[in-house]
Amino acid sequence: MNWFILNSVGTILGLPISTFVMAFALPSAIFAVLIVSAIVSRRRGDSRR
Amino acid sequence: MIELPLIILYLVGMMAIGIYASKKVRSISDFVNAGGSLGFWVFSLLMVASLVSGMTALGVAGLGYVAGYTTWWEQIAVPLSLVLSIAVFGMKLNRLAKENGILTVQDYLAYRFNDTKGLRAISAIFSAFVSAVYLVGQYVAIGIIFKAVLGWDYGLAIVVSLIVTLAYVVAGGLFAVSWTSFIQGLIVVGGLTVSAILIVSGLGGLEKINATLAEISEGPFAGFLNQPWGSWEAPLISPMFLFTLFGLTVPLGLAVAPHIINNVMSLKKISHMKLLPPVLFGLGFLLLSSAKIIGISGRVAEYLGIISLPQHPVIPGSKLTDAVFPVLAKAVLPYEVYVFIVVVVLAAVMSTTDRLLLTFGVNVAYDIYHNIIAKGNSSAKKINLINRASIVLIGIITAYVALSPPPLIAWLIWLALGIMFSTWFPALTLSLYWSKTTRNAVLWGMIVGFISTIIVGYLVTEPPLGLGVSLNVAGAPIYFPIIGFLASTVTIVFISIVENMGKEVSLS
Repeated sequence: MNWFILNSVGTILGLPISTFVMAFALPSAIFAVLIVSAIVSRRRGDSRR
Repeated sequence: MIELPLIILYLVGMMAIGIYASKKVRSISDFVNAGGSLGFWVFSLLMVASLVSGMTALGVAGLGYVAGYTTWWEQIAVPLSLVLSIAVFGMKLNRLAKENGILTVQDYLAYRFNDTKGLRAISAIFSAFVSAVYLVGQYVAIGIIFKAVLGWDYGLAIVVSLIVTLAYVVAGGLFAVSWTSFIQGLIVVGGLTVSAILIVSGLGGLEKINATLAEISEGPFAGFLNQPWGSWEAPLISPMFLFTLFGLTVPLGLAVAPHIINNVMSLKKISHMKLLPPVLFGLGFLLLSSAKIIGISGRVAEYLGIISLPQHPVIPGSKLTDAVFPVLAKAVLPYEVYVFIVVVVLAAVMSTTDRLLLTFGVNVAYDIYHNIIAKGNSSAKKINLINRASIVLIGIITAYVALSPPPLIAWLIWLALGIMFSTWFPALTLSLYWSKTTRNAVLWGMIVGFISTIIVGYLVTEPPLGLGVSLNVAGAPIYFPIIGFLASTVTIVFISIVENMGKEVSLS
């Protein structure tokens, strides 16, 4: 059963695209956002000092 | 048989850390929150290890076995709870701890609302209750797993883990808990990651596992195992159920869990708070994904006839799905690697058990005895004595209950996360971020959240072994603690508005 049109493209790592996005792309994106916000927040803190 | 020497080496190591840590304990603050002196990495591993219990590590793999990728949201939700704990609460609470000598969440509530009795007592009693219930769950988990997989006597496994954990917690308080958690966290993260890599490669690689998963047409949730969620009306894996469980209850409930949020006062440098979210999320995701991949691999391995799970000792006709990690490890990994799994499971169990014991002791000795009964006038020596006595007492009581757990306990363990979600999250968030929040509003909000979650949980799940899926909205199953959460939030907002209106009227 395909949930998204993207799934008709095929599979990555044997998973439907929608599952791959949820399982690996989404957590990677969250991780990247957390890293960027940590760096920005740290720089702001440094410049205040 | 090299398991036993390895286990003894591990246990002796943990006790040695406890004895060494005891030399650092000179004050109440040292015992309760390590004197607010923890460095970045010790604190990070303490947070991760407090979160990831034996129940979690084994249960995540078990859920992967049962429901495949549909519950992968768990790997995002659980690490996010640590991010929320730091970003929403940690920054503010750590600053307050440094400026005002706050040691616990109960201290914060008493300070925020200038209430040394009612609010502190209610929060401490609820916290002690949840910690005790969770403790029973930890002991039951270790007993079942060690009996099913290693053939240990159920009671012996519980007694051994109890004695060792008690020894180092009583000796060194949070210093001992944090240092042992550092080691335990490394063991669990490293052990699960290496196990997952070896198991996946042993079964032919992730692509092959995923392709085989799609072929499975029998057993629970077959047809959905490689999907991000199930159909709208499917129990456990419907989008609404996954959202209310992994989108709300898990991240918000664990963020304020007493054995996790009380850690935030122990970090030495507040500037480290800014760097913690990506580290905690990364470690948590790595750890839980490894466990889930192992569980998914277990479902595939069973389909291929490589393993067969033992029968559940309590639920007739069911498999012990939480045993999938050790069973699969035994079947696929070399013996020299497999024996380390025992230590990984022990480390996972102890890393949460120790924090729960300490949380209970602090609730009784510091929050209730020192601050309420003795009105802040007891000596450090007496508090530490009561703290240690209550830790030993609750350890023995909960382990005794776990030896022959009444059915109601299983239901309460399952309910505990919902209680945390509905009792503390609205109260702490609103009191930290909404200046008009009043003392009575928080007090009644917590009571309403606690009681309504128990009542709704009872009504929808038919204890003792309900599955929590019979509450439906628009034909979709939802996870029930959302009701208690909304009731608590509405209570706090409503009473705060009414009391503020009363103040404005009397002023005018």
